[in-house]
Amino acid sequence: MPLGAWKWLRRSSQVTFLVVTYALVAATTYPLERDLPYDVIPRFSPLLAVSAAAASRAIIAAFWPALIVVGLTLLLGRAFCGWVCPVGTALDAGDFVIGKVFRKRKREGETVRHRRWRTLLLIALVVFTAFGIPLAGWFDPLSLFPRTLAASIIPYGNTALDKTTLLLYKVPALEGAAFAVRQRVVPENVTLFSGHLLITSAFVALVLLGLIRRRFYCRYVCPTGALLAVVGWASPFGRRVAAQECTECKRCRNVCRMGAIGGSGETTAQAECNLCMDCLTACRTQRASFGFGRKRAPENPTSWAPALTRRDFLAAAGASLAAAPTLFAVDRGVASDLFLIRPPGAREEGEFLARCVRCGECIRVCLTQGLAPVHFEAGLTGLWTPRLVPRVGYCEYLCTLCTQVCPSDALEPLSEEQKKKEVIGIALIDRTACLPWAKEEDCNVCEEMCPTAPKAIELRGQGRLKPHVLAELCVGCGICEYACPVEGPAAIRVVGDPTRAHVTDGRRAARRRYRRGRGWVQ
Amino acid sequence: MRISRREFFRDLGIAAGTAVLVGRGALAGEEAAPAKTAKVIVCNGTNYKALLTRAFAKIGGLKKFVASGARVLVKPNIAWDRKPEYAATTNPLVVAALVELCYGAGAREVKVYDNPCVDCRRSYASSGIADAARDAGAKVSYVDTALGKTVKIPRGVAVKSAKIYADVLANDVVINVPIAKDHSLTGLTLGMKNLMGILVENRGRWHQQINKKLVDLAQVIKPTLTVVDATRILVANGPTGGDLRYVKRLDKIIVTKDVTAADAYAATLFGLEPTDVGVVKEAKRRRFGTADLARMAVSTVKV
Repeated sequence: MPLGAWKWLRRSSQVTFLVVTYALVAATTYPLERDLPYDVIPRFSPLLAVSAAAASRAIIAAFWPALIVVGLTLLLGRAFCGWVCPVGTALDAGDFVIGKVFRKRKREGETVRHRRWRTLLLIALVVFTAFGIPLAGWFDPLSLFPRTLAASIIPYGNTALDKTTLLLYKVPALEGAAFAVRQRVVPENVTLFSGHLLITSAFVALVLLGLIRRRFYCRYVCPTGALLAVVGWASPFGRRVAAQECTECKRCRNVCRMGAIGGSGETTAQAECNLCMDCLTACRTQRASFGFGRKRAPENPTSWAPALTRRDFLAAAGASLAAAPTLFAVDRGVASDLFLIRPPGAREEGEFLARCVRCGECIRVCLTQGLAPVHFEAGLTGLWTPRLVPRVGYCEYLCTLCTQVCPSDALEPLSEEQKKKEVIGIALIDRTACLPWAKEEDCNVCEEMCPTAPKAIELRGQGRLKPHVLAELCVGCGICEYACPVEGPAAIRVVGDPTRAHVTDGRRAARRRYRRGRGWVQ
Repeated sequence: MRISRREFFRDLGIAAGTAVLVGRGALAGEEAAPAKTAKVIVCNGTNYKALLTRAFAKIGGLKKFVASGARVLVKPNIAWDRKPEYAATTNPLVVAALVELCYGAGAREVKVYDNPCVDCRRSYASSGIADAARDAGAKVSYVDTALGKTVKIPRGVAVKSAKIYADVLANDVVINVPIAKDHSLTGLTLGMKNLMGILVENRGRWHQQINKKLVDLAQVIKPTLTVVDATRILVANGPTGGDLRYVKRLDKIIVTKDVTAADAYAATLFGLEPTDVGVVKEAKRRRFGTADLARMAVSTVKV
């Protein structure tokens, strides 16, 4: 095989996995009737597997695909990072553009000392995980990428389609085509989630870090890469350099996106090399090759191991140990949002937070797009976990889509019968705003919409009928809040189910306060 | 009480007319039977296509309404994510029979859609209507709420205009196919309430003075025919239902040109007086259509 072919093979692999990732996330939408592994992407991450398992103190069998990645890495080193990872591919594309636009990229220097940051981050994540605070999903590429697709990129695309087709409606000849497109897009409820800006910014920042170094995120930040670097450190496969004449041109060093090549090209940091194979064709004398066995190039001291001193390790572990309980305590105080409604099938709040990998699959699939990524309403560590925002979209009574796509079973799969009994919150009526209660106007919208049988909202009263919530029947689906015709905040609002949360006390107190202050009654 | 000049003349006219009618009846020695102003055909049975064919024959045949090459909208109730047996949405077999009959009468195109209260993809699928109508040859589509057209209601009492799905107005014939259901605010939800499914504005805001607004709307959107699906009716927990114990099987379909008459007659299926239904009472007060059972020519069709 010609040397150049390896590069093209690697590129095809990258594009294929990127497209597959996109296609899977894009296809994660009603009715999920194709026989696809919709939730498989995050399950390939060893870091998410370890993190979710440790935080919830259970072995989560659903993460078996992560073993494939571990096996691959043991054998080949960080091939995953160079050939598979969708974030890596996106960054390669970004770096390519940055390279074209800003021709004078800062010379790729040795950055030995900074390699340790990703490992320190990994240590901190592991320590936090032991305290039941799994933050791996914030940084893990297999959570980060689906989340960005689900909450930002795909909604942006849908919004653009929505607006464009609306414009096309004004052109008589294109009206039919626009209508046909909208028949597919509009039912998906074109929604920009409240959290999309933060998620987009985070992703754009990752790409822009390419201004400093190519694959900056992979070199210095990605904790999954750090884990794979440890796993693949001693892999038998790697870069070999033949003992023949060298022109000292250092083209191999300059072409290496990971900064893995040292000296005049004769050493390789095995833990850094992601097997992109660019150095094969860069070498004028063609002395580099890849293969198994002892002939591997000598270890380049830029790798993570020498950079991570014992002092670093102890400092990171110690700081995380000290920070974790503080974070835990602060968090529980913050997480008192009365209106935090978790999706159906959600486990007890602590267990839910431990398992949720923040991949955004549930947010993507939600029929009404009522599920949105939270900021800090669920505490600092709850960032990017899902919540239901009924005013945007309610929880459809018989729909179980989100419970079918959770990779870590933070949402347990529900059948239609189970879903009918699943209580995610409870509706409270604001008698100071409700039309029949406060304005002497007829209205039955909440009662009309209520999907339970018998209805959890009853109209009662002599003369004008007024709504009352029957607490024991209400499942908290929020369709009443969604449809309430009162302008602004609805006159009937759903409070998250206080019985399932470990923040119960805080939230119950908040609920009592709220009810006293605002005249909220069931 | 002040009486305007117009009201005075109107009442005078009614009084004079009544006097003449009563007088003539008395002279002729007859009972003062009210004139029959609405034909209502009640179908009994399960062969919906045959029933509807014979019912239409009684009002001159469907061809009289559906001209050759006409564009027809069959507007069922697809409002909820419920299977047909729960009687929250129109019977898909009735919808399919109507679609086939319209094509049989020479329609160029028959469309079926509704703007549901819940997610359209689920309600179209669960109700069985999308599949049944498509199999019958209808063009089934989702209502695109961006395509609204504001229609003025000059004689509106509670609303002066309504934003209607523009495609509704492009049809030559509208066949209104509600299902008869319990409803807390209007008593029952029937033909006039079913027309709310063509609105593409904030419908929550229609629920204040809903009966007046429904009669207002019915004045500008006049369905060519109203076919009330009472093959099974929802007697409680309306309009969503959700439990088979709320469902009563009647195997009846009501066919009429007069939407008020349809609603008034359908009330009797629930053991109610027509005026127990708020919207019929309002229509009667405004002399819109025939709300009076005595003024309906009711005939029965059985197969």
